[in-house]
Amino acid sequence: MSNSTNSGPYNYTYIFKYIIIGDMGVGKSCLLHQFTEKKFMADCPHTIGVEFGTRIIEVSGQKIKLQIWDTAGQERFRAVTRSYYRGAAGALMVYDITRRSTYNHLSSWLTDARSLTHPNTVIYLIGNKGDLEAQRDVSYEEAKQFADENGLLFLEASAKTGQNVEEAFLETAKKIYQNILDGSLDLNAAETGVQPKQPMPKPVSNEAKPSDSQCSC
Amino acid sequence: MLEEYISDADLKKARENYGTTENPNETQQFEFALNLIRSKHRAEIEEGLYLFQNVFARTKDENIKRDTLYYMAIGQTKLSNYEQALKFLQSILNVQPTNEQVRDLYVEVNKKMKRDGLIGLGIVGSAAAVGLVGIIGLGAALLSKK
Ligand SMILES: Nc1nc2c(ncn2[C@@H]2O[C@H](COP(=O)(O)OP(=O)(O)OP(=O)(O)O)[C@@H](O)[C@H]2O)c(=O)[nH]1
Ligand SMILES: [Mg+2]
Repeated sequence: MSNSTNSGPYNYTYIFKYIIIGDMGVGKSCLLHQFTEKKFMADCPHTIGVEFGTRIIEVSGQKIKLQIWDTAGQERFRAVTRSYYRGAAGALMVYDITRRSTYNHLSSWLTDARSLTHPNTVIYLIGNKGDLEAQRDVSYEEAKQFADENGLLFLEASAKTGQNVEEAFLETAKKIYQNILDGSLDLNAAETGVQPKQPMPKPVSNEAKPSDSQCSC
Repeated sequence: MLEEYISDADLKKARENYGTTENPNETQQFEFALNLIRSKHRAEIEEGLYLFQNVFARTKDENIKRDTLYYMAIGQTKLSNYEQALKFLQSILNVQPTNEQVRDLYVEVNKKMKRDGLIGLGIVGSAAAVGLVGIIGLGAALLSKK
């Protein structure tokens, strides 16, 4: 495998699209902000429709650009936010560990996510506000069991302290990348949420090696 | 949001749905107006702006007022009424000066306006815009009465 064709800071091999979903006020925007800016926004206004953020990360030596759509939890935006589910490679589904109602709504968020995204979309469950241990309303074990039963990756995190925020975004990318490598995510299929930066070579030959298709001219 | 569109089929569905709703409440109005604003067609965007104007006038919810101003700014931008759009956004910023989402849109609209101005396409102050002028003052006043 050649790995030196992309060297500049803005070069990347793939674009992965993510969505962040969950009830209003669970901290979706704060998680995104912590991930892209490494800062906590103490009081941010609720999101209008959708917000957008990007960051370039590295997975197994490959630079990957994450395009992240942070959706509003408020019901009246549902028509708009739903249109962003299509074509997401990763979905971060967030609840607030101090508010049980946000946890109870997860099954409806999951139904939405499953019905509107690609079958291979990686869904990551995040229990946010992990710093507020004293106000905990949902136990780790209970959420972990829900995640296992539904085949979701799961972590508790805190947008405030930054704990596990990187991990959630990066592990989602790793899982997507793994799906590409093992062929379970077909890059030629529509709306996978993964976009090779250079157009994929048309599958003329099944055995085209990556080095053959990378024109260095 | 500026480049996100609804398909004609989906909008048709939304319209049929809305048409069968008796006495739509402000949320239902908001949702349909939002779908209209996402259209590619001028007439529908104008219809959406008109409906948002209704929502703005009837709602007592500060958040809905703010969201309505934001989407009216998007609609006006799509119609190239940039000055109008900037006024709506400014009236939100008067109340929430640190709202990044609104600030980002403000910057983007400003850029678009300059770019269009340069290539001579700036259309400022259409008929639709004039009808809404009164609203901005009202919007600013209501939002700041917190
Ligand atoms: N203590 C603590 N507070 C948090 C954390 N994350 C978010 N918050 C607070 O929770 C509130 C809501 O956060 P947002 O990020 O705006 O929530 P959201 O999910 O984006 O909400 P919508 O945009 O309305 O859907 C804010 O006041 C944050 O300061 C966290 O990890 N710990
Ligand atoms: Mg938000």
